[in-house]
Amino acid sequence: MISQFALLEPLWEPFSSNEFLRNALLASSLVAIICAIAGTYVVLRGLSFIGDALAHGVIPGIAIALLFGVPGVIGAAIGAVVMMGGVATITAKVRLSSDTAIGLLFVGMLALGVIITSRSTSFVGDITRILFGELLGVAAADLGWQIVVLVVVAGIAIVAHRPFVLMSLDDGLARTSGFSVKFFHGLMLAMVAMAIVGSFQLVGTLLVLGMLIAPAATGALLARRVSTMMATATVFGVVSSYVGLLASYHFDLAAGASIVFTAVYLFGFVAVLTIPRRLRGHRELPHQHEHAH
Amino acid sequence: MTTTRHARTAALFASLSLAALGLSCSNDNAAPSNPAAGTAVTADSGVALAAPAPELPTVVVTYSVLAAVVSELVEGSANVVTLIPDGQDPHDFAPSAKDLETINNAALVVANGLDLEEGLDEALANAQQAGVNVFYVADHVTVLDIVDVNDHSDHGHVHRGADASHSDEDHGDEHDHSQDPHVWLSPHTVREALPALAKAASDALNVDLAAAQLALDNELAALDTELLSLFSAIDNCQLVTGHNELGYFVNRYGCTVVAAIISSTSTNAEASARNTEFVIDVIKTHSAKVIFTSLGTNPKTAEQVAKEADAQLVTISTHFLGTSNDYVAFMRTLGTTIATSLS
Amino acid sequence: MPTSHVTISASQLDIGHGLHTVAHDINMQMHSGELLVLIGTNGSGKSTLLKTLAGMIAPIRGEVTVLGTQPGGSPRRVAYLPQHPVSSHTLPLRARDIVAMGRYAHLGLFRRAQKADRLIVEDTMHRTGATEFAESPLRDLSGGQQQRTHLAQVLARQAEVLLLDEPTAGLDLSGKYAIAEIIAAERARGVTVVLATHDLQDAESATAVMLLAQRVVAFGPPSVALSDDNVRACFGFTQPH
Repeated sequence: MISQFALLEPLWEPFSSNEFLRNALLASSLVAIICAIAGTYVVLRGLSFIGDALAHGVIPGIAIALLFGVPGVIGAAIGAVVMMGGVATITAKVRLSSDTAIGLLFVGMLALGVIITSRSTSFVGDITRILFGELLGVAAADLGWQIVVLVVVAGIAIVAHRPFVLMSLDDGLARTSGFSVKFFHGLMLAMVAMAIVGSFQLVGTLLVLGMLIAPAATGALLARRVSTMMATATVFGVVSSYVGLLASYHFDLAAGASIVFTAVYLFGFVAVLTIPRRLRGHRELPHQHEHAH
Repeated sequence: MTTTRHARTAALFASLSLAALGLSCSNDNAAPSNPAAGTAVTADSGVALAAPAPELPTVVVTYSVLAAVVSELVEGSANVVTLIPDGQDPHDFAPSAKDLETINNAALVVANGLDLEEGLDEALANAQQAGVNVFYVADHVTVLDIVDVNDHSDHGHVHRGADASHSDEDHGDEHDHSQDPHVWLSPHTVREALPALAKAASDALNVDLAAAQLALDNELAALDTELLSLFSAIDNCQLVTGHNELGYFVNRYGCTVVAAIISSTSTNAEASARNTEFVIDVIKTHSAKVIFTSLGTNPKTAEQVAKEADAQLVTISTHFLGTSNDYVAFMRTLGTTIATSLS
Repeated sequence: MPTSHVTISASQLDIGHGLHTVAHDINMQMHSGELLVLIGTNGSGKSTLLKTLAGMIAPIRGEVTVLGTQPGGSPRRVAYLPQHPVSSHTLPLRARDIVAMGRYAHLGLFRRAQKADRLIVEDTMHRTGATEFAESPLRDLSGGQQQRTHLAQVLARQAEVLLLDEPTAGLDLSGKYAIAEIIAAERARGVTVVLATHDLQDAESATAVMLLAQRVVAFGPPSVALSDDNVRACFGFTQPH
């Protein structure tokens, strides 16, 4: 019995003997939960592109914050607000090519962020940390921020669940059901922005979109209801964190990227596994009745 | 899609996954091994300078030159592990999970300070809070200000042992980049830190290091004398370097750096067009014939400047031991390379 | 049968998008239990009129009232079924969930679904024949099945005005009969139905027919509006007699 446990030791020992690794696991699990909630609605509604834009758009905010010695989280939050304003303005004014305009906006913000960071003498280190995250990115104090973010994101989800689901089917449906699409769209963007602000420190802004989308997309493949999708997303997110951190420890890999790669890989794995089910679904349709009674 | 095609897709997916795993796992950063001293090289997370003896405590040193000094001091009483692999810029080095573990379990961590190891700031601060002994060399020496050679500004003045450690939690960019961190490039400066270092080490390891300390001190003194006489024979010792790293060296041995391709002591600032032009001018004015480049100088920029200024490029090793066995050999090589090239 | 009252009225109404007017000078009054069929080709203005009545597009000129308020003012009492391209979205939503969403207008943000709501959902699914695939996710449904689901969702709102844009699209003959029966049943309850179609057959039991071809070609009872001249003006050819 004991020898069997010893075999499993590499699976838990790094965490049991290193507080910083336990912290990282806790932090990335919180990230997984936050991103499962927000990501579910992003995937349902097809907001991945804008989610990516928001993720890149917060970089100048973070860069400026670092330059002034302010916690990056605050810079990210301000950057998120600015980005959302930009996205909202563009979508309202530029109907046809809002896609292009949003793309330009976030690329511009990304370039601006790199420029600002290049003024610092520790440019390479700083920009690496912003884009790819760091293992020690979330200290014990930062966990408090994450819990705040979790509460806010969960709160938004509870309040706006119905309009969000309606909007993922059709904006018009939400409108004619009596919900203001403008308001709830803005609320959804705010939720995504908050999720990014709460998650970027560990996995970096370049990859945080992966945590937002991959576990939720996996949930979409497996679940039949939104609640199950969210739960599945959480499980996959937490598992990805665990496996990613373990791999980064044992094989000296970048931690944030390992977590995100695991999440994406799991999606691919599940996608391949469920191919037969998806095919079967199309073949085994119940026959249409002659009469509708 | 039939079952066969589905099976094929799954197989393709599986083999791609294995390939990806294989690629990422096979990344062995083998640091250059040192045949003369019979050193053993362990993969990535720390180069051991001698075959590690199992029962001894660990002393972690951030970069190899400093580790060479520390090894002589604590030899036999501890295993010395170098964190930053040779060839990697200390500014950019980000510790892996295993590195963090090594730091947290060390009996003593010896670091340079003055933000040389910027990426380790937070890790070391956390370690200190958790009770690990961290020693910053720059806390115990006469720190020189950076002289911005390319701007003809007046000489930086000198102050003693400023608190070089970055012990606060704030990870903001309040770095005091007016102080030169390259303290290891003068044996005299290293000697300054030796008493405090020896005390820290003997406290942390609970051994008497008096003998080792004396031997090392003598070595450093002899080396210092050697270099002094070497450079006293050179009149008008004027250097052009890749970046401004030789502050302590030239201060001690009576030379001056007249221009640097990159104008701050950090390797991250890019060579601007105007600066490059200035450097070429200076080289021509002083009839300098050699540009000394090292780790961090962009080779393409250096070649371009050398070509236009009709000067020769000489590579010096300033940040890692390279082929030298120990600190004395390292500094001797550095000194003789410079001296020979100038005559 | 509830007493008849005016549910929709429009006077000198111009409809369109932005600055572009699609149809001029629409005048009409519909009462409870009546059926207005809008006939025209694609781009004739049928969908635009429905969207204007639903409150999704503002009228360009003129007045329009639905149930006594401006369009969109009473979401619980007006239900709109847009044209639906077949969705291959991988949404984890079952047909049942989609139909249940029809109750959200009544439930708002927080009210929990009661037994009464669930019964309504079951009933509408039964009426449109969606019960048999109630548990299947949307992505597994054919075009016709998706249409039945969306129709059930619209019916679940139990509105007083139904705005239906090509509800028989994607359905076979039996499906079309089913729709006709459902519309008849709703009208018997006093619901006003406005239906857009390009199939002349759908207009048989209408109270009034409006032919649109970027303008109002004709408006009136079917026998009058569906004259050969009018139909030719609308489609470019007439029905075989």
